[in-house]
Amino acid sequence: MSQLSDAEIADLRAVIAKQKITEVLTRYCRGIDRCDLDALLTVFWADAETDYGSGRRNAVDWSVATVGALKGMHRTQHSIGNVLIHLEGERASAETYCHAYHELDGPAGRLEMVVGGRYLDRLEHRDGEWRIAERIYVMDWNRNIDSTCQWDEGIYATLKTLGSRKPEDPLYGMRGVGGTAS
Amino acid sequence: MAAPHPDPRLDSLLSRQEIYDQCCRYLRAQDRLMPALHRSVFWDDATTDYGFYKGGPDGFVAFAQNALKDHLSNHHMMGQALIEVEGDVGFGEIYFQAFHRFVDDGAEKDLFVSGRYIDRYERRDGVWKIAHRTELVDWARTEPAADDWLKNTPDVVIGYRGDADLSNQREKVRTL
Repeated sequence: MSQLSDAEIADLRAVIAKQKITEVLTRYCRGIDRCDLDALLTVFWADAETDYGSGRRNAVDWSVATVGALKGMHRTQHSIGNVLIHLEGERASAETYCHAYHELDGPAGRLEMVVGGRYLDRLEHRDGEWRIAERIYVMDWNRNIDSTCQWDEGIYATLKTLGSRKPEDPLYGMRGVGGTAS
Repeated sequence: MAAPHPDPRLDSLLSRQEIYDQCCRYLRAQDRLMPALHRSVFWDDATTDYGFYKGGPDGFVAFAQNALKDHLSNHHMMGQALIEVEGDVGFGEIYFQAFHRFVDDGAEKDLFVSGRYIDRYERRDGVWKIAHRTELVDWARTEPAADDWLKNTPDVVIGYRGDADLSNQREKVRTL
């Protein structure tokens, strides 16, 4: 590789920072969907604050309470899409689109709840690591229907490997996963 | 961004990040109704083909912003972005899923459109922008609105268009 100019090194550092931040945002989804509190706690600084719409909370307290609540649902899947990151030295802000699927018990049977929203995050780089210092969740849309999930019928009868939570999910048998950071 | 780096791997990495960010801004501009940001990701001589609209960037942005403002809200989600760079030209296949809430005969409905943008990007004076965008539609689905939960949960932070949306209040976010 040929010699890099200062501007090129700055560009490269920006790409690396954005990649690291994207991995933090992706690890959040793993922590939530696998009810993996250890993984979730690597996403936030211990003094971080969250506001998902019902008030500001310390991120650690929020994580413990949320993993507990998620275990009461049958399954969830959080998918992130567009991630637009603005870097300012050791700080960054990010707008991240998300589709969140939940299957849970309703008053009259199982429900499927799909919520589209965005995470508005403020991140900080401390001791070489990016984590979220503040998270605000903004909801854009949602849909709620009686569950249409099938598990043992038709084509689904051949798909026997189902997602679960830590440690039952097949993810935790994979080399390199460990159960905390990616 | 600096001039192209002679190492094509490094130049591709830096270029793909720039192009990815432009694709995010395009979707953000549609959801927040920000026509200037929307227009800024296209070169002046860019071409577009959305099937029902074909033409240059000024006309497209006016057409799209006018159509979207009649909806109650939108959420354009990006998926896998395969961007390949050949010198100062790039090619992209960008998956998207778009949510549109609109009113039809007095009833609120949700239109989901899922497809791909087939793009050509060009780098001019070190800046990457869209030179051509075709929108391909892979599937669509319209359903009656089903979000009573939202109406019954008034204390959520809701998304807005334009400056009212928290994503457009960086100074506020900085001090929260």
